Amino acid sequence: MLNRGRPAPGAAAPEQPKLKGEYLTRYQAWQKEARENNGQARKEVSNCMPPGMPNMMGTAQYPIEFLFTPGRVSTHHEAWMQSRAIFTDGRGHPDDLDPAVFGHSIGKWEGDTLVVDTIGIKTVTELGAGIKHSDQLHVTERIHLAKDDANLLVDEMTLEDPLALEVPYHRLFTFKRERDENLLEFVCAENDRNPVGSDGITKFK
Amino acid sequence: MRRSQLAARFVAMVAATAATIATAHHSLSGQFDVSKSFEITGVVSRVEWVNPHTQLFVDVKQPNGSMLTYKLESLPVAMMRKAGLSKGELIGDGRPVVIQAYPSRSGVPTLGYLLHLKLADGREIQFSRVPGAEQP
Repeated sequence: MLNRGRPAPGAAAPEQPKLKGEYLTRYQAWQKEARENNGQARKEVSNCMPPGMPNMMGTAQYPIEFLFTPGRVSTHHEAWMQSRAIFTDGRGHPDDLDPAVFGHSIGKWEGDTLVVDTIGIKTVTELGAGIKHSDQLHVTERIHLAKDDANLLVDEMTLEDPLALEVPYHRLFTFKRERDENLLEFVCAENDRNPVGSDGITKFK
Repeated sequence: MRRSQLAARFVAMVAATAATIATAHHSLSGQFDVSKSFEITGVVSRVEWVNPHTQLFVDVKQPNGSMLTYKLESLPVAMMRKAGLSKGELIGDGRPVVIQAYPSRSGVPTLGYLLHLKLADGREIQFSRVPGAEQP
């Protein structure tokens, strides 16, 4: 059977972000438009645009690989072949930071937990479908194995945005270890059965 | 965590995420009519075992004896694996399978999105809807 991403039966409902100001009104307008169009939502980017931070940690349909090398933890994502560089060599964020789809991440170990701090995420990415953030978005992650299960990786994410969020927004991602498989490639320009018409609607061929 | 390990591989498992996971790269309900379904019985002639989505080609014998090939879109490879399906199992052994699918909105009758599969050995697999097909 296929798991669509719902929490286990009996688990608390996932937290919803408390948006504010223009970020709230924009989201409400997006929702309304999608409801009126058969669930088809407007997007500003091409269908091949990768999610970037933070949603790249939540693409449950595609596996993620974590690699540990001196001074750096890297992630490889099967989804859109995205990758993250989390610098663990003690550096801080640069003063002249250029925004990036994946942001700039620095990490430090607290015992067996990798604490990651990410800023500089381009505003083209989303917090959730249709939910935009500002350039002040600050993401903190606590990444560790589950206490009682070494085959379960947990990423406790806190998102703060003084312009878009009333209060910090928490997300939890869990990952089951799979030792016997490798990532498959995902070249978005290939296997494209979704041409976009001149009306901007994605088709299927 | 053993930091001396060079690589640790994890498969993303679904978790208690708020809102929705990043929208799929396309909207299912925009391309397929998720309020209807059709059923065919045929032989799987080819499987595209690729990202972003796998694809099944099913040959269905017509009443007049000719063969019509249906093209069915389905899940990413990693999700097929999680469902316990391999490329080999989908290709099968030439025995017919029974498929239910969402029809394409384009009006082409041989296109669809895989909804339910009954393999020749009797196993039935129900495919749930892709995130992004839901109304927000």
